[in-house]
Amino acid sequence: MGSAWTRESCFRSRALRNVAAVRTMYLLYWAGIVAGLLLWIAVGVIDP
Amino acid sequence: VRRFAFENGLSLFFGAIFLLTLAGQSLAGQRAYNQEQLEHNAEPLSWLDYVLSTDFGGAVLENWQSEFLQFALFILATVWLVQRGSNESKEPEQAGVESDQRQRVGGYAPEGAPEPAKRRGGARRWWYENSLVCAMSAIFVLAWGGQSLNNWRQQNEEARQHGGGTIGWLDYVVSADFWERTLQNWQSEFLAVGTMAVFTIYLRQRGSPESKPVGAPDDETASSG
Repeated sequence: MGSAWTRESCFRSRALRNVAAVRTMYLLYWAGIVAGLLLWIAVGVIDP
Repeated sequence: VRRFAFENGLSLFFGAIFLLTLAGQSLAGQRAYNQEQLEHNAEPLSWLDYVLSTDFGGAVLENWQSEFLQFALFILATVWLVQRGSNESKEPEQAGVESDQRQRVGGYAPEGAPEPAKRRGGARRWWYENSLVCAMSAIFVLAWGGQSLNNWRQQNEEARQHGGGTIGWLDYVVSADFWERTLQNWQSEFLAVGTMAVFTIYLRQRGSPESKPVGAPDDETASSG
């Protein structure tokens, strides 16, 4: 019983880690795109 | 780490080659820009100054806008338009936004469905149903606007250097220069998308979800390999 619970919790924590990794990738893409847009729109507005 | 790299390989690969090519573009662009500066007896720019210049900003955003427009249009057009035999199209009888049952929303949403998909209707579900096109379109509009600002500043700077008059932003966005830069990017994107829609009817790439399975008949629509 105990080992089944451990296996299940191990599986669940790995699944949660996978979800977190994929979400991180998604947020990284958003961060890169938003940073690029903000930077070069600012360049166009300010013309340093 | 190896498992993470394998499971996210597609995004990691494209993210990495994006950064590499952006860096390459900035280095080659700086060199070309400085060559022209020297020919005009003007001061060359440092790499950082070049990256923060309207020359580089305009060149980057010009390409970004067309790519995001391409995907936004493709996602939206494939809701209603089909291409018989293409892997990029759905079955002709599915043209349109499809039923709730097929889209697994509202009462048909499975247990693991995202929360907005489980709603019976309303603004949040509408927003979620169209979130991909909304995101791609927003990036397109912002990049296109940013391109116009950078190109406008650049054109005025060139005019000043040649003793010519400058123009306002509104005059620039209806100018031939802006539309030539814009349309030269759009035409290539539309050709590439149309080519994908048509080529995937008859041509294959074994193992790619962007192709039909190698043995799939030419008239089979919407199958992924």
